[in-house]
Amino acid sequence: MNALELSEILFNALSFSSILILTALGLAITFGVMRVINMAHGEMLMLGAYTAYVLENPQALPVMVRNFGKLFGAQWQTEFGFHLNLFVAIPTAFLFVGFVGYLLEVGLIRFLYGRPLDTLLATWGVSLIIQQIVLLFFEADLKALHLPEVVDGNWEVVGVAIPKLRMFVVAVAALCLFAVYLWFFRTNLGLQIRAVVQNRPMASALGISTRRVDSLTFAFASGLAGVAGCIFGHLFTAKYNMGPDYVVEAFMTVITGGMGSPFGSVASGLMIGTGESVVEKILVNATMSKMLVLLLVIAFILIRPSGIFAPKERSYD
Amino acid sequence: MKNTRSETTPGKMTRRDLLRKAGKAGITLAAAQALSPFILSGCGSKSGSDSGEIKVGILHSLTGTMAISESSLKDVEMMAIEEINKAGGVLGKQIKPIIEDPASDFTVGFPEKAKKLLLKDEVAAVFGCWTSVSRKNVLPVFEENNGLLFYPVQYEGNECSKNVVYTGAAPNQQILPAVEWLLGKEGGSKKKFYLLGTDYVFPRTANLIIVKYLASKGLNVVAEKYTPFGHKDYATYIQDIKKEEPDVIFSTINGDSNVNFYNELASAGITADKIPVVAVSVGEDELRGLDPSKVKGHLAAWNYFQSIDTPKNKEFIKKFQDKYGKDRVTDDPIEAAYMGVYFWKMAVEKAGDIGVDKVREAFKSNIAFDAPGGKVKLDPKTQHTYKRFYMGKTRDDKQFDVVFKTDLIEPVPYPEVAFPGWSCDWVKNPNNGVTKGKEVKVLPDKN
Repeated sequence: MNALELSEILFNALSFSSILILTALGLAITFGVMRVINMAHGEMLMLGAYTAYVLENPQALPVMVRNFGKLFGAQWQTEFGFHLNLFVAIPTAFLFVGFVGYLLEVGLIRFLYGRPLDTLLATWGVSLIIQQIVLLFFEADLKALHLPEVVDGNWEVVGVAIPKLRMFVVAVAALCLFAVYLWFFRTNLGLQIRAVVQNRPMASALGISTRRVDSLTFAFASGLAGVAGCIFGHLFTAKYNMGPDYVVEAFMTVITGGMGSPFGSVASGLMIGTGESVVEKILVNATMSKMLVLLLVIAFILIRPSGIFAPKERSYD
Repeated sequence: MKNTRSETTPGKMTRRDLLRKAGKAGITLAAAQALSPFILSGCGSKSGSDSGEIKVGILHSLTGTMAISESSLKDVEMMAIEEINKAGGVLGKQIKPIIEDPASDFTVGFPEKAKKLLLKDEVAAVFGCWTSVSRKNVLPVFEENNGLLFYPVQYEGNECSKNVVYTGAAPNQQILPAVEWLLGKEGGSKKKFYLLGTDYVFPRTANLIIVKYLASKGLNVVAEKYTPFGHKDYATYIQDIKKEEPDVIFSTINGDSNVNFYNELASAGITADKIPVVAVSVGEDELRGLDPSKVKGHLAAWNYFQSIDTPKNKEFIKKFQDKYGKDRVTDDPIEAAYMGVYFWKMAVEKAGDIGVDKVREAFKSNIAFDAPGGKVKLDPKTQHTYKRFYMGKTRDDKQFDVVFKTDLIEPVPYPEVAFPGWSCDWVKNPNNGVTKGKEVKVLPDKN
């Protein structure tokens, strides 16, 4: 193992971990903090990717309008399309998918608190619906997303060629973590969220609107998923059924990290990402490396079932 | 019933509650799963062709991972059927297509829907499949029930069923000519091949053929690597490619994995003039989902390109785009699917009957069709198609420039270099057309 390979392992570890963390962060909040099993989390990611597609690709709106018209048997045409870039798409994805999450919470999830299996089934149904709606409007083909010049290409650092986009993903992941920290520990709403998680009836008795807290938390988590999806659409690809590809990894990361703690997900993301990077470098065999890493995760959960940062029942940290 | 639900904070549930809920959910899901073929198969009309109508089946994934590729095939087959119906149909009867969507479930969905089409709907022929996995899984259904499948996608050979008509390329019409071209001066006299593919039967067999062929020329491949379906992250593989320093990458990567693969390659600064990629599963439809700047100069080996400049091709493209949208493209499997429908029509008219045995008898009359990419012939010996080979280089407008082409190549499903002693002749041996040679195992990757 020479120095080049070692540096490649380190940078790959950083990249894989940041991808896992970004994927899992939204879910860490809804599943870990609110105990809501959101099977539509992958679709939130997908909606973020498609927001980027609509904003960046001038072909997107014509396709959408044409398919919308087909629903009514009409032949609607338009030549108008957005041609913005990634940096506009990210906040838009946050707001749009956050709004979708808000609607989901208000319309469905709020009636199912305390019923995890029902939430699971219901959100799985919602995920199918969202997938089919996107398939209807945008057709089944893969959507190419172009990168702005700034994040295209690579840097040569200590002989390792690091794609700028991957470093951008790391930066965004770090930013999102910082945002989550600020949200939970430095805002009034964050204080209310922590109060509700610690002792819901008492928080309600003190005048905190638990309904508002729940909706806004879910919306914020969905927004994070939207940002993640927006970026993954560029790093990988945007397709209507990309949700299931991510949701399993997200759950795995959150559970390994310990529920109730977004920062546990960070730790497990780092652990799993580094594991994957090391094993893949040694074996250069994606199937074997995935299998070995999953075996390690299973072994870890067997030894320590409540995850890395196991929640202590009566406190949040 | 006593309410055993816990009254404490949301999220708390007794074990009994959990087990009861899980049991209910589990049984409902299992029952739905088991009953779904019957509930969802609807009220398809019973016995075979009613007076005035001939039923055919279309078996392509319209949802799931393969929807992206296969829905185009369903579209062009519908277009061909409409054209034939407008011109009077077949044997004076209109063709009625019955479309089934196996939802990219290669192991269960495809054979189930195939059975339904053959046994319940009693269709005269089926136009379907894409991945070799789906074809391998429906093969027993067609062979046991004497059905006829028209399979429009290039594949790995090592097969010659009497119940399948292969309108896609056999390995000696796509894979081997590509390797030959690369070894020659025009292709750059490449010597160090890096084989990278998705892990299933087509890339495994294709790479087996390539390895054996190169060995016969005294060359060893630099590496032979596989990634699972849907694998997204090629960072490690690109780093391995930089380490091994091949002079060409032969890619059998399938599906959306291609996007990240080409992105990573471009990010690493590996351009087509340094290490070109020759793909056999990337056509115009796949290019739609790729960034042109990332695939610039890379190559693809096919038997048809949309950019082929003939009046027949331009007419075909116009008809397809008028029907389905200006942003749609045509590619090799689309042309092959179109070919398949017309081959069937011509054979039925020659036979005067829709029965599978009579139709196969009619293949011997050397069916030829003026396909969009040029005239093609159906080979009655192997039930494969004579095809031309084209090597294409990607352009900025998501199309290919043809850099090399050949005349019609006779199909050989069992290339001698990889399957010694194997051959296929349904004309000479109508009951047992496949002559078996030495046992060939498509070995798992040793790397």
